[in-house]
Amino acid sequence: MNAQGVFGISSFAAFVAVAALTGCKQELSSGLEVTCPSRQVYVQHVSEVMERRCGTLDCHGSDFRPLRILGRDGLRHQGERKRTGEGVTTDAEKSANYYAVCAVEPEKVSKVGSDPGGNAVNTLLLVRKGRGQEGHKGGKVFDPWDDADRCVVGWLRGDTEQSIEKACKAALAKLP
Amino acid sequence: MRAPTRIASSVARVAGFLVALAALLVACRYDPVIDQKVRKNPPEDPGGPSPEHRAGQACVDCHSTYEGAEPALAIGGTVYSQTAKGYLNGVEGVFVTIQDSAGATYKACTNKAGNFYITKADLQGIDDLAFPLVVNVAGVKMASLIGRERSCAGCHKLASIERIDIDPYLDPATGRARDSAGAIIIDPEFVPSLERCGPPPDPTTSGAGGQGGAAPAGAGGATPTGAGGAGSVASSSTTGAGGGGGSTSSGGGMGAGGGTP
Ligand code: HEC
Ligand code: HEC
Repeated sequence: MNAQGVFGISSFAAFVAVAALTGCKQELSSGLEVTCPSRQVYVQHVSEVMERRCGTLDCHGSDFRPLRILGRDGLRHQGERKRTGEGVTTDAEKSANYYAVCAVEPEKVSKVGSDPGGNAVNTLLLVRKGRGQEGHKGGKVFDPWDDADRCVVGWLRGDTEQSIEKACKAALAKLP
Repeated sequence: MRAPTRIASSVARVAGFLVALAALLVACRYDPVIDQKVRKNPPEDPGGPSPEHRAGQACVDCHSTYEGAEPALAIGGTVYSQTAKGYLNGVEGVFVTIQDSAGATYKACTNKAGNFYITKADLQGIDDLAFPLVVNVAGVKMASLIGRERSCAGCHKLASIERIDIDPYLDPATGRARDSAGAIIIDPEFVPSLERCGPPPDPTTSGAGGQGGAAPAGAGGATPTGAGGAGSVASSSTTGAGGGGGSTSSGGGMGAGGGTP
């Protein structure tokens, strides 16, 4: 009786341990591959909209925010000798913005890319926070399907560059 | 002997409970980020608190619900000019115009220290400014929007020893750096007359007391003696310009735009 009880417990523990180990092992060995939508399109069209609307020094242009957006009128790239307001947003800054945005939910962003027509894009934290559907200190920044929203969401879904460019330009023109 | 001891110990227990309760209440409202920022400010000006005090500092860190300094401010800051040698001086008598996302426009006038502010009461029944905000000082528009910060100094951080240590590329004169736009600097020689606002009305000539003088139409307090409007003048008209010459009450009040009172 007693022996069996002990056995029962230890076999359960062993099961948990094995399950946990295989869980880790599987994740490590499955070769997690993450893809993010076009870097070129982000850098060329989307970055500026996010710099202006999200990357001010009091919002995502701060080292103290988990999602950092760099730019001319916000936080500057750590490796470059530039001050806020000087020159233009550099390639390194736009590139850093791309990786920052992709890294918010890398697996989920990959899935959006592989299912462009699906609903997945609407569930991304990036999109939900921007739309104010998720707790966000900056409140609602985009309305679903307004120009700024279509600029960012269009890029995430892999819309044509032409339509993304149009939405991003319209969004910039509307900023006060 | 026994009874007093028991009373003393229960008094002590009640007191202990109250202390614990107070600590809990204080803890709930404690915000280490703001506390630390406020404590890092240089000491109070020798003259004590006034509308001209603490120039360059983040006004609304203190003039907030959290810290409770009066008056409660919706926004505040300091405007400077820079001498050839790099020194900063407060600029008096220029308009700061804030346009919010709901279409309201507020104007405030800088005082002797270059300080300006819009109090919560100046918002006239409107709950709060609608962010983001667009800012214009003496006709110079700020390209960056304000997302949520109420103190200009939140982004326009001045130089400090501590900051230079962290960022060697910081401009020691203005404080401009990787994470700061530096002091707000305008050239007082090139302020359009509509963007000028005057010192407080001289009581011996205007006799208007705290009501402010009548401004020449649309002059916005262009003449140094004529119009009211030192300290803080706010106007919540959507037209913005031309609402000048508003009234002030003892150097910090609110004047409705467009000719009142
Ligand atoms: C470190 C905290 C702190 C900062 C920063 C600060 N103030 Fe104050 N201010 C106070 C306190 C404290 C008082 C006194 C009133 C009170 O105790 O509520 C005061 C008083 C004032 C008053 C009322 C003075 C009077 O005579 O009635 C004005 C106006 C004012 N401050 C404007 C500003 C402006 C503008 C700035 C930014 C340039 C600023 N303050 C920055 C703490 C601060
Ligand atoms: C969100 C951060 C932020 C806040 C808050 C902020 N500014 Fe700025 N400001 C900037 C940045 C960045 C620049 C430099 C680039 C530009 O012109 O926008 C700037 C530039 C300016 C300029 C232009 C100066 C020039 O040399 O062209 C003025 C004027 C100005 N700010 C005034 C203000 C005033 C007044 C306030 C407070 C009501 C304020 N700013 C609050 C970020 C901010």
